[in-house]
Amino acid sequence: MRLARFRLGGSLLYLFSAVWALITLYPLVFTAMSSFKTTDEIYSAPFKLPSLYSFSNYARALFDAGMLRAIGNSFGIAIVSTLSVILLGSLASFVLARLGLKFGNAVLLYFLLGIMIPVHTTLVPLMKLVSGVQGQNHYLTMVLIYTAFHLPFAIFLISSHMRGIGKELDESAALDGCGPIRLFASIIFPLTMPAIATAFILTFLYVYNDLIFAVIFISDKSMFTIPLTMLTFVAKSLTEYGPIFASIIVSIIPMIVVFLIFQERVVSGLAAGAVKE
Amino acid sequence: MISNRSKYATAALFLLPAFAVYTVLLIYPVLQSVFMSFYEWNGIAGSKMVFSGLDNYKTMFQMPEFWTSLANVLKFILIGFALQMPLSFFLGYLISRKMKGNRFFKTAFFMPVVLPMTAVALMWTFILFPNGGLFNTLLTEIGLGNLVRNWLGDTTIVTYTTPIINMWVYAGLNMIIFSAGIVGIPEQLYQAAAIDGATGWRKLRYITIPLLKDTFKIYAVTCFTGSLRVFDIIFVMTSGGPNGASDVPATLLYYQGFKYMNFGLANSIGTFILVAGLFLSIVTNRYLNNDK
Repeated sequence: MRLARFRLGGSLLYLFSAVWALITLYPLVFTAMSSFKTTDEIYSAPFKLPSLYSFSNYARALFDAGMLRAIGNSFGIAIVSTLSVILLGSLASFVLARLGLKFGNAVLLYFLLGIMIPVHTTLVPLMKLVSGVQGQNHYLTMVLIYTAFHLPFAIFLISSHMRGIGKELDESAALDGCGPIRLFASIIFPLTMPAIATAFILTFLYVYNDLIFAVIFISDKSMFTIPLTMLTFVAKSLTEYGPIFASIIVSIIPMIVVFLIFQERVVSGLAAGAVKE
Repeated sequence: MISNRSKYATAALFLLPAFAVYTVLLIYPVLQSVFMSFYEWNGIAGSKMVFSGLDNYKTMFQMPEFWTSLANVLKFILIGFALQMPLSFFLGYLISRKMKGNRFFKTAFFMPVVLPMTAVALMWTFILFPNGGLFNTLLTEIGLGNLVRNWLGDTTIVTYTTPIINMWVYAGLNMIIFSAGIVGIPEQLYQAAAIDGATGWRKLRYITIPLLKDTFKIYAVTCFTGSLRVFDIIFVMTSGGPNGASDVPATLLYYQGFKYMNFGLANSIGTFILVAGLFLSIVTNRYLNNDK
């Protein structure tokens, strides 16, 4: 009797898991299927597999809507910004976590404050600042802004990992005549690799997915990132369902790949970020 | 030991770039936003800002649109507690059990979190199209045609549709927060309870939920601050429409500042988002700590 009830409970839980997985994945599957269909087919047979796998929607999305160029822009900006976050963030973390300076904790707190600040509060003054130096439509502007906004979380991840490394290392390195720069580059940085990898992946993900800074600071079409390109394409060709679905698929595939490869890091890192706020 | 001189030289060299970029592009704009919220400014670079005291705040509090945006935040919070919290807790419970296919479910549930919000929001916009959109078609197919609605075009319905789509995106993230808490509860407690004859539901009620108090607190704080910061999903799915019905403070800030050039007003909204978020985090932390 008790066993039967347990099994029933277990399979109910299983059923619920399956239902929520369906709710999560089906819209993505539907989008993928529709990306191969003609508009007529999307309307007349929304639940069926495409009658033939035509890539003409993808050609339209990539070339006419400019998704190919947008992918280049988004990846370029995301990679350079991420490298800059990692470089500046790990250098700062080293100072704050390893050198035992008097003001170290205060400065660390100052950086961590940035995690709690809502992005939108900064928009008008940032725009004033950027337009004051004619900085709109510059890759450098985007990179610097993304660096500033993602440094706090990277410093949080990297410095807490660096703190955990034994202090004896620094002392024996110093005895061997190793200066702080070498200590950082050849000992501490490599030992912090796990946290740096997490910070790298998350920063890349955040920058790649960003909408608001691109909306505010990029108006030159040749610099459009993926979100801007998609929004302009949809506004212009609202009825071209096939190409729109194709562009959605094109923009999410890189993130799905990153997620599947680095799942544990992405999950734990994003959860840490959410908790930190 | 590293000599003090080289220590401070290194500190300066290593710390300055991060410090400068962060201070100039994040901290300074935040302070400037609070400062500028007491000024009138037309947005033209180099033009004078005129001190206007509390005028921007007066305008803000007298705008019906501002109250609509707050009501919409409240709906995000309500759905966040009434639907998303139980759902995330339950999903967290599911993936923390040693269930077959666990890994697949965890991956599937988390997937939307990593996808670009613009793409996800566009996807749902098309799925929720009133005529021929997948969702209404599905409702009709399974005989629920009387539930067909204009999900994003109706001024009342849209304010519930968007928080629910938001839940579709973020349930997976909150699931991880809950599952981390659940996994942290020592197994012996359950075994002891089982010896005392406690069954599944009672274990959940008397062990799991009370011990997850900190997790619920974290959820409450992220729900408040996250709801105050909603932007992308509204910007992409409805642009705040129809007729401003789905605006939230951040979209209102964007439209007031960057469309109507009311920069002073935009800054007072920005300051409000900042202060309200800090206030709610502090109050939540204090309130949920006191009754320990």
